[in-house]
Amino acid sequence: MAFRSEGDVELWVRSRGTEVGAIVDMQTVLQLGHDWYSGRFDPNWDRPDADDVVSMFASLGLTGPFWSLG
Amino acid sequence: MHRTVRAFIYRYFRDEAAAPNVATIADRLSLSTSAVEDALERLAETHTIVLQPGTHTIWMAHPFSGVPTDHTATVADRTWFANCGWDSIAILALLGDGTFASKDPLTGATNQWTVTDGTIVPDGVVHFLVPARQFWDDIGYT
Repeated sequence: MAFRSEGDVELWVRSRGTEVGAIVDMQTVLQLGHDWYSGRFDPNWDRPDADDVVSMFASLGLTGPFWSLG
Repeated sequence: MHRTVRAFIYRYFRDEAAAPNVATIADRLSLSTSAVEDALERLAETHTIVLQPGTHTIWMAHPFSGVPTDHTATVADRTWFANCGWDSIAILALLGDGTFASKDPLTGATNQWTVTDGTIVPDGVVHFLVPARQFWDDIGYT
C-alpha cells in the first residue's frame, strides 16, 4: 500500500491492530518494479530463482528476515 | 508456447491498458482455444499470472490488473489499473514517466504522485504487509 509518509503507515498499523511489515521509500520501489518485472515482455524470460531474487532485493538495500525467501 | 502467450499478455497490457481474452490471444497467435487455455493454466500454476477463480479470464499479470482497482498509473492520456500501490509504481518503472495514484489507506482519499526523469514527487513510502516468502500465499491480499 502507498502512503504519504512513514508516520501514516504507523497510524494505519495502529488503527488496524496489526504490525509494521516493511516500509520502503517509493524511489526504491520504482527500481524494484523495474528489476522485478521488466523481463516479462520477452518470451525468453525465466522466473529468477530464490537466490537471484534475494540478491536483487539486497542490491536495493532490502535485507533481513522480511526479504528472506528461506 | 506458454512463453509466447505470457509475452503476448504483457505486451497487450502495455499497448492496450487491458487484459486480452482467450479469443484474442488465440487469434493473434494463431493458436487453438484449448492451447491458449492450457497455457493460461500453466502460467497461473507458476504464479506468472492470476486467473479469476474458475475461469480463463486474466485477473492479474503483475503489475497490471485486468479489473478496475483503486491503484492506477497514467502515461500521457492512457491509464492502467494496478493490483496495489507498489504495482502502480512498477507500471511506471516499465512504461516511463507519468503519474500514479492510490487510495490512501488512512483517509480513503486518492493520493497522486508524479514521476519525472525517474524522480518521484512528492516523497512517499510503500508498506509491504507480508514477508516476501508469503507473497504467494494469498496474492489478492498481498
